[in-house]
Amino acid sequence: MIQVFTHANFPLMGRVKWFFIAFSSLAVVVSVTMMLTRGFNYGIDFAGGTAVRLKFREQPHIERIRAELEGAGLGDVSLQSIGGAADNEVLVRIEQGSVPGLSGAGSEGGEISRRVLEALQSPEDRQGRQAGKIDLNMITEADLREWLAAHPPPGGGATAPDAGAIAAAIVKYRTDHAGLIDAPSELSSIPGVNPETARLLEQQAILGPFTLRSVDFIGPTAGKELLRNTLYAVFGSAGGILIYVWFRFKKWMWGLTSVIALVHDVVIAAGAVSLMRKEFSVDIVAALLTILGYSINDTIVVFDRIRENLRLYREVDFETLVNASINQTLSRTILTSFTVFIAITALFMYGGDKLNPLSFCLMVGVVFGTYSSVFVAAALLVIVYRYLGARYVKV
Amino acid sequence: MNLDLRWRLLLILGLLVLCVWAVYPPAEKIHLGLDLKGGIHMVMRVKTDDAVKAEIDLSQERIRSVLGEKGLAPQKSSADGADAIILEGVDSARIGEIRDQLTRQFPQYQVVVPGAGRLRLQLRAQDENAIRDSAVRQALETIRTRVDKFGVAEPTIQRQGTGAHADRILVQLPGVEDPERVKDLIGSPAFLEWKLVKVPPGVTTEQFRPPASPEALTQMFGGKLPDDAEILPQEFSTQDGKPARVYWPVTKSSPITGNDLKNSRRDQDRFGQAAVNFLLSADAGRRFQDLTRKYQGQLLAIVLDKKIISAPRINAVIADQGIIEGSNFTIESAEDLALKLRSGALPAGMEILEERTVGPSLGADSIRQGIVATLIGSIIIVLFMLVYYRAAGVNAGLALVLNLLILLAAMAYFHSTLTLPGIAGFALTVGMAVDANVLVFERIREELRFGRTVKAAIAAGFDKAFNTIIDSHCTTLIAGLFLYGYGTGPVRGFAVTLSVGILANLFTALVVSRAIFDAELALRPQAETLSI
Repeated sequence: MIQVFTHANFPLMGRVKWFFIAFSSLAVVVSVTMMLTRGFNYGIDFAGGTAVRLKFREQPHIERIRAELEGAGLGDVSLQSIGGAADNEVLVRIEQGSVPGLSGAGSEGGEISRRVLEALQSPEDRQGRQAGKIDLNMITEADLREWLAAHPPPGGGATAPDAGAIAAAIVKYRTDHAGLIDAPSELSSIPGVNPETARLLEQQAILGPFTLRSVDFIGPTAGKELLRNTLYAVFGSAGGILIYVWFRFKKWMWGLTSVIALVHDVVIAAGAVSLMRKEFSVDIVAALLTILGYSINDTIVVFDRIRENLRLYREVDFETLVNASINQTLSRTILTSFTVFIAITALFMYGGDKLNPLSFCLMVGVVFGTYSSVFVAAALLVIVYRYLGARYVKV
Repeated sequence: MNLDLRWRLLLILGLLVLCVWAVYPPAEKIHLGLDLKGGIHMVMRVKTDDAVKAEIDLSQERIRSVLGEKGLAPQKSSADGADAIILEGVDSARIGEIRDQLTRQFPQYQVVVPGAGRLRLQLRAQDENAIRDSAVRQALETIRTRVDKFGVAEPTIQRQGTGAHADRILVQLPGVEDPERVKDLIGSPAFLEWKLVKVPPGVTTEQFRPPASPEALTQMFGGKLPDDAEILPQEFSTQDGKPARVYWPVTKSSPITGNDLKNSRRDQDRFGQAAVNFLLSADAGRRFQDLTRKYQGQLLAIVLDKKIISAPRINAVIADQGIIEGSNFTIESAEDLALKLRSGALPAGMEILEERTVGPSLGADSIRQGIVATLIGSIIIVLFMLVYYRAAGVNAGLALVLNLLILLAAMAYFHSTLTLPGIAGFALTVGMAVDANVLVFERIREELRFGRTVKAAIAAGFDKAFNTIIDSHCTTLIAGLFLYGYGTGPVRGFAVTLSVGILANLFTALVVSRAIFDAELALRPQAETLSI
């Protein structure tokens, strides 16, 4: 049988607790300073503007893309490669209102993405397109169907009813291959595409060097509302949890200390997001609220045991009793967090770039949430008992 | 095996079957969000100020005509701010009579006399709110009709926001790839009007060529436009494909509008170009007939959203049918215009606040990565539980699998949408799924160390961990509910999976896991050791 900390008896609530309280205070101060001075790398949800996500067939050359976009009058663009090096993905971000000559906010997102695509075309592709060729890496299924119906390949083959099926087959193949068809020779290997059509497309279609993965446009007012809603949600949840713990443990001080621990976790997780320049999007809001809801769990495990022991051993000194309670529950405090940490780490490593900031924030939150259950929540309870009086704590 | 346990096992088995039935086949039963499926997500704001302005304009016209009939017409009427009208040059002697008249006929206004010969009509707040509200509702209906006619599977069209922000409309169109077309289709007001062209003095309709700037046009009228005329642009592209504009002088009033249409569809003009044909209602048909008879030989401009499509000459008397042609229509744009005209005009302009287009390939990648991450997490956790808790780890593993299954089934049953953050909620559920098991198992181990029998240890383990489990789940649920309440879009999907996952977890930990232990005890009643 494998066991951890079965007979643990670490003196955690002695003088050493002051060291941890100091450490936590320092971490909170550093986090707050970080947020105030360095700020957040706000994602488009909060900052507004347009983000165009492109996937290239070959390693994209960021500086060349920048030059091409700026040459096309797209002003101050920010470029960021996303995902792993092999993903060849680039996120183009353009601030709201930074492109001159865009009439009204109504069409800004669409207009910018159109200009970005236009600017990044190679000269050969532009020629091909002007000559009426279609780009198989950009065309929509509906347009491809229409084109195929209008261009029956020589030597029979695709008649009108086939056009829909062939277009669907090609688009499905493209979707399954991350949105890019690499070489014309792949066309004939797609099931459902007859050789005549494949040959026709090899001559009449170009395979552009990139594909459009997504376009996001967020107007200027959205961010402010979002920020306000975020604060409501965080304070609402914290308040709700405070009341719940107060109600369950009959003493408001228990609720207060556990919520102080929670706020500590959330502030440090947010500070880490700021420090690591992770994108601050609505996902981070979700992560912070999850930390609020989850990191209280370990605190409750410890508090439950303290309460149970308080009833059993009335004569034992409070500090000793809390210390014993922590040691008795140490194995489960660590194990429960450990399993969650495994799940989040898997998400961090394999979940793709979009979930990366969220899982990063959760990882930090879970680690500090476990730590703070013992060294903030329980330690504060001991300090309150000692310096403010037993009546705040005794149940 | 006692009866009670048998029932419990049967219940769990039944639930298992029910879940599999609800989920299978997952591709059909689980609704994917736009971020996974690909498609267009838009949040639009209805410019309700437009509707208020329209009301003010209309009221001014009616006030003039009501008072005019009694010979009390003011010299001047104008809008005062966004929601009031000022009448000037009113007959001071009869101002009381005029005031009573207006109060009776226009109850939505509060009429005051701010000075001699002046009247001010203030739109009442509740009436203004009603106008704004009805504009949003009408816009919602119009958009719904347009999307239905466009033919999108499973669209979402909802009113959003509260209070001052109740002017939002959310539109989600899964699987649609061409945002520009859709945006134009649902966002453009499509207000169609027919207006007579007022050619400048000294120019015949044959000679008149619209100039390229509004100033030049005003010059042709000698520096001042007639009171009943306005200038509207016409956009077209020149021979070499460059965009160009000319400006037409037209009447302010529109004898016929899109509201008079009975039907419209795509058609061809006599050159085989795409065009839109229309059918007017009987009443409007008569008016159109009178109009075209009276003004034969003149130019009649067809105006869409304050832009001139074309200004053909009235060659013959037209009754209730006609054709709109010559705006460089493509088959697609003619089709779209006909559709918009059929579904009616939007009562106010729309502003796009948020627009997200996700290509299908990105969604497919996200799903794949999400599933891989969740599976890897699950496998490592189950392996860990097996190594650490040995046979009891099997129990935890079963609970985990059942937990995921219940979560999926609940999502399928309630038609919840699975989003990318929702997948993160799944992964997190996997991690939390075994938490309750850990709490119970550790407690059982503790009780065994105290020397209790296997049976007593199991009972005490579940009993004593119960409160802790309930408390920890409730607090996470509180955060989940707040997240759902304040979150938008995909994040709500996260709140849903997280909250449902927690409830499922409560069930698997307290009922399923317990039943498995009890079954083990029933098989080995005299067990002296427990593999935990």
